[in-house]
Amino acid sequence: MSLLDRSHSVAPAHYDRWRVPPSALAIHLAIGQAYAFSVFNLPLSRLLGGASSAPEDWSISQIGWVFSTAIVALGLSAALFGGWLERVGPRKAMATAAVCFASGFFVGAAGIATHQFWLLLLGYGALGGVGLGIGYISPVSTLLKWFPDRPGMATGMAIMGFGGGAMIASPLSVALMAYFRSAASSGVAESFIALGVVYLALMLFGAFTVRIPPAGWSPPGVTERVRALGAPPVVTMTAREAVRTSQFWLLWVMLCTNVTAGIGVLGQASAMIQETFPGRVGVEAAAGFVGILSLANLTGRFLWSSLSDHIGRRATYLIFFALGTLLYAAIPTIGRSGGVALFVTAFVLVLTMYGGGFATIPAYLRDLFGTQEVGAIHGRLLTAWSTAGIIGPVLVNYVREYRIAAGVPKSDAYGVTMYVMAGLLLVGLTAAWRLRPIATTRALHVGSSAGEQVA
Amino acid sequence: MTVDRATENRTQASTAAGDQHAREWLPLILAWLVVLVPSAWGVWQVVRKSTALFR
Repeated sequence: MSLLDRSHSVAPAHYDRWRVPPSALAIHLAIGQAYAFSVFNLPLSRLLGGASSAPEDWSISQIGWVFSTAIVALGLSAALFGGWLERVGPRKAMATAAVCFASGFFVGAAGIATHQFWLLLLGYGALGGVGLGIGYISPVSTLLKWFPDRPGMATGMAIMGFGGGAMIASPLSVALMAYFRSAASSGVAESFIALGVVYLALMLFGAFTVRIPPAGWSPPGVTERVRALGAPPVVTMTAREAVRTSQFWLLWVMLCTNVTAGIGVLGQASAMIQETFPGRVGVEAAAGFVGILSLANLTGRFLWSSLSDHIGRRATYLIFFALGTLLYAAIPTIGRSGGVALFVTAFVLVLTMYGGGFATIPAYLRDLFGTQEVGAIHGRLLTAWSTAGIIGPVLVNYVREYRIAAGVPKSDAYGVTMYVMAGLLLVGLTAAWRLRPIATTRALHVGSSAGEQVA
Repeated sequence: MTVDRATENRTQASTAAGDQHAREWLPLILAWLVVLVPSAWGVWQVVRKSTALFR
């Protein structure tokens, strides 16, 4: 397997660094499929019954565990394999991610064909989730090393692909299921196999085209530009050292609160707009609303993270949390006022910041801890995502059901949820406010104790 | 004869430069196409669906 070795992926001199983002995007476009998993919910719940669910069929809430398992496996594998990624290099890590992610589809297809839920959970959930985790952090870490002058833009580009992946996977999955559907089959297992093959090819393209910069490489004119940015990384820390700092945990809280608020809205967007504007927004228009939110999430990833290169990471997060708190708190009032356009605009802004929060985090990690083990540190931070993946939907569903049970009309049921989200963002704002660069004395101590270079 | 050889040399140099240029740019363009074409298709699907909100 020497072709996958780190030494084989070192770029030659004068290599055009703009050839690296497509490799990163290929990986993220593939694994972004995870956010389109919900298109399989209904077909998976009718595998035995056909037109409607049979008593032996899997329930929607049971199927929901497959996605939750995948997101938890993402966080755990990113945390566990982040150090390994830095050692073996991105090519081997990306190829491993490709095999795991595609195998998840194949094992999942076997589970669907034989109607064994544990096999689907083990395949798509656990194995696929490991592919998600390793695949998520590998390209980000690589791009940060190629674009030291524009770390925000670089990570934004890759993580934008994750948002784009869902946009491709959703219509593609629907088309595949329609193509494979027959009197004898719902077409879901066959679609899983087809998706596994397509994503394996796309991810291996990314793995075999990725390059890492040679030792000591820096892009022309980078020193002047980094100096002009005013925020060069002052320290290089190992992942083990980074998790012992308060800065890491403040970032963890920031990511967790931002993602919890965003996931809570994304999962409920369709029902929320229909129930807030009954009779005015139907099912089709609500699907359009979800589509607009996906686009906002996607563009926010690139725009906010690129902007953070100019205004600074701290200022960017302060804007996210301050503006986000105001918007979440204002949404119930906007909903009651009956203005659909204003309601949509508020959510669009919220979702750009949700995506931006995801995409800007790796650049913030690079600013604080350097690039040497940024993949491993990023991996450990992604446990915040797993946590938010469980808290967000539970919080929204629980509060909504509690309110409806208490006799509140459905159109007003989301009000308290929005205030809870605003409260969460206030916690994030406090963390962002308290976050300061690592003190120079500590940085020097850590850098010298680890025998690493302190810039 | 000398003029012809000079022209030939210039042509060969120009072709070599063109080849070099293509060698540098082609992989870059192809790599970006691999990711941009499916992305554009995905975005188009969403935009098409989103118009329902404004009807």
